[in-house]
Amino acid sequence: MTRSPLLGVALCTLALSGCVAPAPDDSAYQSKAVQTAQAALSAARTALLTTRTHADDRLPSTYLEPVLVDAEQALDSVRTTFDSVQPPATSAADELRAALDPLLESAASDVTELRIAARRDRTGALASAADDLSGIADQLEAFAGEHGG
Amino acid sequence: MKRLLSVFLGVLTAIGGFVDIGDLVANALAGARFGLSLVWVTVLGVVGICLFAEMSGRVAAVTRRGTFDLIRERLGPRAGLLNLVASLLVTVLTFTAEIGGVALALELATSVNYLLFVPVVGFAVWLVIWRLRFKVLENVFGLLGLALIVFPVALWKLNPAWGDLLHSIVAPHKPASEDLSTYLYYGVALFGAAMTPYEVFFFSSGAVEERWTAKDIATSRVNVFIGFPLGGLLSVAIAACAALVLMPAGIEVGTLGQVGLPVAVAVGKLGLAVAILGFVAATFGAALETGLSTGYSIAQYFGWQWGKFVRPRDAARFHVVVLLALIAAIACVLTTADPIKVTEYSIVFSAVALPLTYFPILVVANDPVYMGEHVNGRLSNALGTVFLGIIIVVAAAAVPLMLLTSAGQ
Repeated sequence: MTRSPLLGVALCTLALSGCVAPAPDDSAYQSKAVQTAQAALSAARTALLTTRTHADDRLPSTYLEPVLVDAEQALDSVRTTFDSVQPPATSAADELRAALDPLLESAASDVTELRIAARRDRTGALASAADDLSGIADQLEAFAGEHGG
Repeated sequence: MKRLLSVFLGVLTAIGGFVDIGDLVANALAGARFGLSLVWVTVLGVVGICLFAEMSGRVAAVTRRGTFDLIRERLGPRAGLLNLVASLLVTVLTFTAEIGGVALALELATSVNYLLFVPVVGFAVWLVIWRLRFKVLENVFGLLGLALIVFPVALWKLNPAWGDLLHSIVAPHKPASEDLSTYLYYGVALFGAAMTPYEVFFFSSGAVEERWTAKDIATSRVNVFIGFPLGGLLSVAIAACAALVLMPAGIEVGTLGQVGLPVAVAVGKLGLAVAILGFVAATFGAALETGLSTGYSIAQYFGWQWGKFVRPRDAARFHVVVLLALIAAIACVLTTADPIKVTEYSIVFSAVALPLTYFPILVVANDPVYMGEHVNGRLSNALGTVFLGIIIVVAAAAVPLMLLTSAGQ
């Protein structure tokens, strides 16, 4: 096999497996941070919309639970992927990570709370966790907006 | 009267059978991310599939032979083999996605993990293919697929500004936050979803299964030119629901649960139950079609007896191929590969394989030796050639766009 087909295969594998390369500079790291915030926002808002639609008696528990599990897994995956990126050695990159990481952690924790409350069929706990998650989702949206999303 | 009812039934099954897991995911994904700015691609894809499905139905009705049999004879064994391998890989990938889709839909109905349903779904697919008559399986799942009409109902209940909606379709604008390459990548995915190759193999092989003759060409045209565009409207409704409910919330579609969410918001529990029924019917019906298509393609190429119009013992190799493809698909889903991701890749690779599927159909439909008086007219040839050009461009762009956008991220 010559070098260029090998490179092609490597690129394909990288794309197909969704691997994340190290961020070479602040701009690339910021772009990854924004993508991460948007993905986390998507999972958080999915959990919120589903929970609220369930609270309005328009969606059964059987549908709520798998959607929350999916959102929880999505947030875990988003966070793991972001944390696996090697940031450039700059204070701007450290600040970005310091701002985003707690939001990702809170969002994941709140969706876990939602999933636990849904399985226990506790309406009050669902509403409370949804309120918390709503605030975190707004912060994720603001983060993405501030950094060019 | 009986003929009229038969035509009506054919149109209904064509509508209900049009949408599969690829259409569900691609349209919801595109709607949530790009609004209705990519609906033009769906429209283009529906025109293309109508054009080539009509040709392949006509070819099957006139020659009473399967597509791959004709391709090998007309283009030679090497070109036929290339066509077979490419189409088969895409069809097995799609088969995997459909089986995963049925299991995901059942998970949404029961909260039981989808992986537990996979062997059950696989067994049910095999049983239906083995036991049910072709006409029965085609009609039952096609009609149940009509449950997806709940999406246009949800769209109506969402009470959108219809003028704005229509404007965003006829004067599409790429969202400013999205790159052109990402926009085009999702365009390729939507085109691949609308023109999935197995749909044509199944349609033409089904024509042979049902013993169509040249007299049935008119019925075939009614099914295609009325049924498919109305099925395409379901796709547009799915995209519009996602655009109205998911896009403003910043939700990007990555699960089947998100696809049904707008229906729950707009219609409530009953509507959601109907949507889940539609998901199960659409994906199960498409699993049957893709499963059968794997058997059709290989058996037709090698000249084996095929089809459900003979007893299974008389088409043993055909049924063995279907069973092996089914086992491969089940094994693939059980690796815990995300069925939605498999769907996304299957529709993009469908786009890559499109020229290999549609070029031979155009060649055979244009050959008077096979088609006699039913050979392509000037309009069919002109449109077919234009579409072939579009298909080649889409196929060439698919993989570079996938790499450039990291698969649409």
